Amino acid sequence: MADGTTGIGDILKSNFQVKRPVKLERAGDTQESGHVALASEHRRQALRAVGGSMVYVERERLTWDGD
Amino acid sequence: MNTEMSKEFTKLLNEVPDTTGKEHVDVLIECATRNKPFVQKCVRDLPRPSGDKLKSGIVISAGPSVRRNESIKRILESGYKGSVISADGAYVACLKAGLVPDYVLSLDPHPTRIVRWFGDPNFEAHSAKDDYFARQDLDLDFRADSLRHNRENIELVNRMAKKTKLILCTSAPKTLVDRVLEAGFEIYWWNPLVDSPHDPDSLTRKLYGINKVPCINTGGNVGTASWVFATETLKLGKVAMVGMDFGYYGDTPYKQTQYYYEMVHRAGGSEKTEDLDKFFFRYTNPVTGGEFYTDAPYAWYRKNFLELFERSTGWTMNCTEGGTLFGGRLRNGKLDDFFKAVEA
Repeated sequence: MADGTTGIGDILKSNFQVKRPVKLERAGDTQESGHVALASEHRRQALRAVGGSMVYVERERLTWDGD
Repeated sequence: MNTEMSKEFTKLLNEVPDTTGKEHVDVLIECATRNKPFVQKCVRDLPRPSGDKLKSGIVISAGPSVRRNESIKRILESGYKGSVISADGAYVACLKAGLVPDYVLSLDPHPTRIVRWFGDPNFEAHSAKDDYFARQDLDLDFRADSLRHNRENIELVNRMAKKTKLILCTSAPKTLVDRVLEAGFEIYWWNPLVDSPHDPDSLTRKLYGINKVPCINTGGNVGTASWVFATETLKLGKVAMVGMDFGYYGDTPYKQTQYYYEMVHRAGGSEKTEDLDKFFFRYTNPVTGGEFYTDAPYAWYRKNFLELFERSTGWTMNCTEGGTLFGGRLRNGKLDDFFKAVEA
């Protein structure tokens, strides 16, 4: 390989052509996208979690049963 | 100990109502519409308590002090004869101790979490990827063997449901409504009073228009709603509150707090105590002298309660014996002080 390391393609030689090209992911790609997804999920959950159990805006009345 | 709220804490505190409002507006209309066919009785139809049950009541919320102070056991041992009003999160703990509440309240519309307070028939599916209850301090045994305890809770609630009136908000999720109907509760419905009914786009008025059910201010949480129910709907003479901590014991690790992930996010991903300190605020409780702290959501609940309390003319004593809820003209004391006040 260009960087001097041995890749899987240097060891295994196929005897057929695949119909659809396979895009190989580098190990770092998968791990990174996993981290981003996890952080995003934590962020989403955290934002939801910080809210109260119920909307609260009314500060004058304790109860109301119609006009 | 920090004596002034940091700007980070204040900023977060101001964001809580916006977060909650946006999250819930559509959900409340949807839930009230879906629950309308089940509204056979509402809080207007409740028989007024009489005798000792009218003279006083104790509101039991699910704060960590209930376990540490053995509040439920002490209420039982005192032979207390007044009304007992439980928040949903404290209901099973009451039953397990042998105390059958007269009323239990529930209001949170969360689709999968709240049903657990009544024993969740779909516990495993609802618990997956959700560590919310790992931060609930009331039932430590539950965490050790959740499946078995959940099964026992289902059986216990099924056996006892008919002895307690369920005071259920029209915001209740389908999972909870299905469960409490199955268990056999007598249900009295109410709407959340979330804004001024006289505003042109009032959500409260829209909810009332769906079902004509009376509205109760919640202050954002079931503990405060339970107190409003006791003082304003039942109009009990003297009301005590236990488990109304609105915070954590000073020795609770930040990781055990309800909103830990949000605080870590705000701290740029750091889990170091020194980076997280600014997102919490510490108090010394005047009854115990112990140290307690809040995060922004609990500080919001605390602020809301104290605002609503100033509007109330009822007699209230906070007997949590811990936590962060004190200030203004709110009485704070020990449970024994309340028992003496009721006898006086």
